Amino acid sequence: MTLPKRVSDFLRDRVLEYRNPCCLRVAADNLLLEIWGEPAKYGLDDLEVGDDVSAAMPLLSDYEFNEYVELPFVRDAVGHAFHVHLIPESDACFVLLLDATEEIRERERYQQTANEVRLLLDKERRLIAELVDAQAELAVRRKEAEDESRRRGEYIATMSHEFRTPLTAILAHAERLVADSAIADDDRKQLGRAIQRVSQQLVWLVDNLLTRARLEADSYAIHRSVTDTRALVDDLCLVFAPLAADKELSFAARVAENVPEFVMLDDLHFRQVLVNLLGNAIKYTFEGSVEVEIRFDDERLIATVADTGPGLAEEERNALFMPFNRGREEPRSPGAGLGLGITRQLVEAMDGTLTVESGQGTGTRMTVELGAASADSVSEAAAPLATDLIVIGEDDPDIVDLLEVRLAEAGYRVHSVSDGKALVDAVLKLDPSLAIVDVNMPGLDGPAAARKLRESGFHAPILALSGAGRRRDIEYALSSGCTEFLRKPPHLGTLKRLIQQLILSGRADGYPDSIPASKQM
Amino acid sequence: MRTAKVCIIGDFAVGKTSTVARFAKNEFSPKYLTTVGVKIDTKEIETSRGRMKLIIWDVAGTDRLAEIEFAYLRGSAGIIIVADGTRAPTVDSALRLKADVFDQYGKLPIVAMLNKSDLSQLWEIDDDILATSKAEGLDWIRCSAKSGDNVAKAIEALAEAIMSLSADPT
Ligand SMILES: Nc1nc2c(ncn2[C@@H]2O[C@H](COP(=O)(O)OP(=O)(O)OP(=O)(O)O)[C@@H](O)[C@H]2O)c(=O)[nH]1
Ligand SMILES: [Mg+2]
Repeated sequence: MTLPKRVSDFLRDRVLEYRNPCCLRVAADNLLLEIWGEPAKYGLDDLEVGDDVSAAMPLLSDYEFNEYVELPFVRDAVGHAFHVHLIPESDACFVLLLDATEEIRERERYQQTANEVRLLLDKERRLIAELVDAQAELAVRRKEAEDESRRRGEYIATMSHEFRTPLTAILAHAERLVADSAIADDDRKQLGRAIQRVSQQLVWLVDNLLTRARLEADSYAIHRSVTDTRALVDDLCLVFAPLAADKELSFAARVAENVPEFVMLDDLHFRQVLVNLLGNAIKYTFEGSVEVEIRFDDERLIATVADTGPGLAEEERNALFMPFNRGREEPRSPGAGLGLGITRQLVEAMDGTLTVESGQGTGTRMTVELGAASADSVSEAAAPLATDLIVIGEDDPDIVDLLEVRLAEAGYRVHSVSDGKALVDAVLKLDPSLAIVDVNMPGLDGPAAARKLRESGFHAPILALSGAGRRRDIEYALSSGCTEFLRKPPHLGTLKRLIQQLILSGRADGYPDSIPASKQM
Repeated sequence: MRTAKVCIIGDFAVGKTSTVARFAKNEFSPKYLTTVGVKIDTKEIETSRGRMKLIIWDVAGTDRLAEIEFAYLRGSAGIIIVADGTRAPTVDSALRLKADVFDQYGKLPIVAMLNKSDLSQLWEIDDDILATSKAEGLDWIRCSAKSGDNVAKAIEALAEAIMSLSADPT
């Protein structure tokens, strides 16, 4: 292509002006042979013929100058921007540098925008992926919530039934008692007993529900105290023998010779365990017998409940040991049925073990084994002295009545008040052998009253009563100066035994050398 | 002194320029300024076989090598491949780039830097991806141009490889 000379001269001038070319002729060993143009524009003004150019232009090191190469858009370390053309000629090479400052700047501007948009798209991709994940997660959660709510619904329905059946029975019996004035004494007694039995089952049901709630809330406390083993077994017989008789089952309870009369254990919870095991055994046995046996070996109490029922298949046995509150173990019979799962947890909470031997058709043996130190040495002792006075601070009149009657029966003098302040006054005035305080009294609560009493120099034992039995209640009471702790309503055998023992030790040493029970909590 | 040209390549915004800035000047900027064309820096280092001058060609981000990149890569003694650990697709780009380099120049010494390890919350690269990548010839080193973690270590390992290759070219 040829152009008029005027035009080609014009073009050449424009390129020279716009590109500020610099041209170097470089030998194969990188030595500078000649230089033209505007080296200053490229920071090469110090370069002289004979110098090694690779120091000033590192891009030329390690290049083989044997063919034409174009390197567009090069920036050096200090920011010069240019295009490079390497034009070989025999054993040397022309290096042509053309200024690209403006051009690069413009390219950077649009490349920057383009890349930022791509990064944003990338972020969007990530957010969408997260959204999809979150939606999937949400679906799973919703499903779980629905399952849970269905389970709860079923649970409430079952529980309502569990309550309704015995309540309806009580109501029917009571209605007969009220409506039929000509009812014979024997029948009246029968009805009364039936009401008693069904009410007892309701109490167990509530006990189990409370235990379950506490286990779930992890606010469970184990509290050992002196327990009368024979009295405990007698109580169980009293309740379960008639239940067994109703189903024409034979019922037997045995306590081995060597079982101490008194042991240290959590009386209330041990009872609950045996009630659950016996209740279940009777419920599921349709002919034959149910037996309970208590043995003692090496400071351990071993209780076995054996029945001749249909027995448990292996998977049912395993289900007993499933973690509770997985919705698997459901109430199967009033009271006791609520849970062998709970029973197992209770036993474990008392550092004991529950084992099951059973097979289809061979009946079931459930064995509970618990550490239970003998307490015979501290227990066998004198009856109350005529001087032994007990002051009770308790705001629930039913509990007050119960305590007053039973303690009077046992030979104590009793004085009751219904709030903490009155209690402090009464104790300081009457100086009793023992004070019983309710943990949750209005105004000054039991432990606060106990603290006041200790500060005023009262030395005799103080027994705290609480309906909750939570660990923090027990700790609060014992750290405030109470000597011992019992749950409400107290089991009367245990209560009497404990009071006797507290008064004895109080007589012997006085506070604060209280009985070992509180240290074994 | 031995000089060696090394090129740093990888997808856009993975942190190539930041890695060079950290290595050559011990600097870092959180601001993104994209590279156009190629930027050339030098850094002298000590290797077990003596002192060495690295001439580092910081090539604009791309996921494929074209004619212009082949021109930039001519005469390279080694390659640094960078990917962004918070953007999984940049690892795929790196695998393609590695294949392109080996096709054109044969098996050059190469180091693979998985950058932005400081951003663990946004991390997208799991062990599976790492294993697949390793099977295809890229054994990633987790690095951070921001914290400086592993940056010098990775590049110095490449320098050692280049030195031992030129000392024993078999
Ligand atoms: N958090 C974090 N950010 C980093 C790191 N390395 C680079 N960045 C940021 O990532 C962005 C891109 O970094 P550059 O170094 O410019 O990336 P590049 O690979 O050179 O990008 P191109 O030149 O466009 O290909 C910048 O905002 C950097 O600050 C790192 O290790 N951690
Ligand atoms: Mg860059």
